[in-house]
Amino acid sequence: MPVPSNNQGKPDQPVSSDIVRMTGITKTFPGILANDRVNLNVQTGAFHAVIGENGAGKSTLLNVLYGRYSADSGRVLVHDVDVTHTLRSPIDAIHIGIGLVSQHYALIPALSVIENIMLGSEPVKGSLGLLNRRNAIERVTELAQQLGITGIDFNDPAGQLTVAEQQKVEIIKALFRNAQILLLDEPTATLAPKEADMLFALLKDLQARGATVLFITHKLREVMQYSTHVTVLRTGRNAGDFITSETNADVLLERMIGRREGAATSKPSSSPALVDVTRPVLSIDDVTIHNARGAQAVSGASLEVFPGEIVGIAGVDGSGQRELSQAIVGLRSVSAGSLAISPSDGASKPISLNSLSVRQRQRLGISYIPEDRHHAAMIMEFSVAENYILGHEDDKDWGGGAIQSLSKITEIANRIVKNYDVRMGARDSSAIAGDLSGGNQQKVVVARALESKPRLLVACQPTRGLDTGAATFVYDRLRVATSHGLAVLLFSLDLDEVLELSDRIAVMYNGQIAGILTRQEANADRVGELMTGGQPVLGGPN
Amino acid sequence: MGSLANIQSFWLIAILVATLNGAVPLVLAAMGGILSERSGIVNIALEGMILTGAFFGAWCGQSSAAVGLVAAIASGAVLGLLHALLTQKLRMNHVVSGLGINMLAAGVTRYLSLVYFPGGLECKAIRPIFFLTAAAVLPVAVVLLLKRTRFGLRLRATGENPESARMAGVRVLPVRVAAVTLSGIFAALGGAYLTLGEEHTFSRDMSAGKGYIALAAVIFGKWNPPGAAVAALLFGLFYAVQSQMQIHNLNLHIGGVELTNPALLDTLPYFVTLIALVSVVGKSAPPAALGQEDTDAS
Repeated sequence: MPVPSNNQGKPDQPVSSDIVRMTGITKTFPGILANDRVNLNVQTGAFHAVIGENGAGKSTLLNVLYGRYSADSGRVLVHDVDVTHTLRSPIDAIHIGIGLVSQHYALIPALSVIENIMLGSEPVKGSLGLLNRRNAIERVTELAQQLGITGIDFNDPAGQLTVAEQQKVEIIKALFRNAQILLLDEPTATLAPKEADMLFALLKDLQARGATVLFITHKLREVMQYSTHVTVLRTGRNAGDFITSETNADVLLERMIGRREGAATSKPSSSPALVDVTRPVLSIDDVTIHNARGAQAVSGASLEVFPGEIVGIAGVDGSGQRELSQAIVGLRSVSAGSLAISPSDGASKPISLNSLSVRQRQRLGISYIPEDRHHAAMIMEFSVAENYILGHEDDKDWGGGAIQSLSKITEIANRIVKNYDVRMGARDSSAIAGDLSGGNQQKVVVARALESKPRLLVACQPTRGLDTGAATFVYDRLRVATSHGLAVLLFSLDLDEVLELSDRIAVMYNGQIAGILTRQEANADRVGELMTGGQPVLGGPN
Repeated sequence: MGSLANIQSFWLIAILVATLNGAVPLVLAAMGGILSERSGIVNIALEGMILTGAFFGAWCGQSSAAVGLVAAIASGAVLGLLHALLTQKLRMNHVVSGLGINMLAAGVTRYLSLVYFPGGLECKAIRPIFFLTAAAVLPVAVVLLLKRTRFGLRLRATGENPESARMAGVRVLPVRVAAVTLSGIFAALGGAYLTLGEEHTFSRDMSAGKGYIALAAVIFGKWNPPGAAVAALLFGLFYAVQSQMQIHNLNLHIGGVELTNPALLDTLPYFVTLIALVSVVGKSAPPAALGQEDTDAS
């Protein structure tokens, strides 16, 4: 049922039960129309979800409400007061009772928990601005008790907290500022399922005490299970307002993605390889890896990956996945244990990777999709063609040595761009990579990884930040490549993705492989249990 | 026998006095450096701030030392504000801005002293105990400021992550401007010591790298006031050893090299600074957002 919309132009002070009314919000960034006349009305005391694919404009809208961005046009009313021109910074938002629980700009690790909570709203004594730490601790302790949050020492550095604990602290931080409206941006993106449930239980408890919750997500399960109202955004525009109990997931999905984009049908150019599927391509044997700070990140992990299978690595962020993936491609050394790849010529003895460079591992058939597209996978200032040959500069296809054939590179890159459906307006592969959308950039990265005809692909977060169309494309390409004998090691924080793609799932917990499940054995509950060490998460309500 | 003991204790006192003498400007400037850097702004302009403080202290201190002190502090505050303006408003690289300020300070003080005081610039004196007390109190005061006050918490937060601080409701710009201005004041106070407290005359480029050594003390002390103060004392000790060896005209040779050659001895404090810095590289953790451009969202 649509919520009453658009009262733009009417005089102020409309009598309503809406705590937030955003009307006709338009926000552009250079080259991007992020919000196009978006309306959002949130009832007092609602548990309101804003859903949409990546790039639908959800975060932009939330940031306008939090005063981080000022909209190009449109009106914002909070508590029936027009704040369009007074809401200029997060400080103003805090003053009118809006609190943000953010993933990206979360706590400062070097400061203590209590310092993080009171930062910006510090209780002071005297005219010198001396911090009243005792008063802050008392208030925070009381808040934590009310919410049933236990097990957090407020004098510890915030950097020692787990992601779930940090989120609880962020909620306390918002309530410490007397927030009545809580904004949450993808709150469960880095939580294990059980932790996510506990977070929502906590938020529902707050709602019962009178708070209004507005959260962004792209997970329909959360919307159907917890929200009271839903606003759907698609490509920066409104695509429907619903009362959750009067709709269903199928309707919401259809509104979210609109007409489904056709799945890719073209085949990769590599020919089917003759592979022995009974011998593992990659053998990870009892490896221990230290992270950049010298702490043990992976301990005693063992795993084999066979040709033609996708092995998914699941786990809560920071469980050692990143270090393991880096060790396999050669960006990090192993402290103990061995990594070995089967020889490509069918000889019997596996080749130890331990002392080989990244380039040597590449030549043995290891290919890599880095998790961070902007910093590790591409050079945004380079053209698409230049990015395509990056790491393969000495390939014989374009000269094989010091002198490269620019025309060859352009020709090949243009062909690849077409095969992988990379869209960049009228330009060919000489377009600058940074000008492409995230999905199209990722297609270039995937093309580069697959076109080198690897035997093992280490794919890290291959669809993070992609919309459904682009993600489906990447999935299809991975499936086609595995059907030709490629072994894929898929590192992903998106449990749905791991469950959908993987033939086997290895779950990491605390630097160890907590269990390996086959596709038949695996489901969200079992994987989730292993992700948290099989232990209930401490510190939640109840 | 007694005379030997006397000579020894005389030596000890001489070294102690010379150490404090060398360390006072370093401690004052290092406290300034800590405030700036903990707020996220690299401050190699300490050198220029010291020099400017020394010059204006002397210039305005010709008839009244108190006026000279105020002028020195004001000149440091102006350079601090300039550094804040260049790095925060005009988004200049912090090191480039700092280098520019150092060159500006060297050029302007040289020009003014040549044009207006070709026969030398003499000023009144402030008793060194004043500066010594300031150098003793300031590290404690800075610790209290950083740890116990609202301003200190906000300063640390902006140095770790300005975006997080902004999201928490902190106005980052005023905090940083205040931090760098204080930084300039403290460094200029160190400069004022050179003229008003010690030499009673201004000589060109008399800061002689003390700003850089103060910055080294900041890094050596891991951006904490007590550590930086101890490091400054250590560097001061080597100034003292160097000057005492020159005064007493010791003659040490190893191979054909005259170790006590004055030119070689002059390098001692800088050499020790270098060794000290190399020994802490990799072990020290600077403020997370130090020197980064603050991508202000608006």
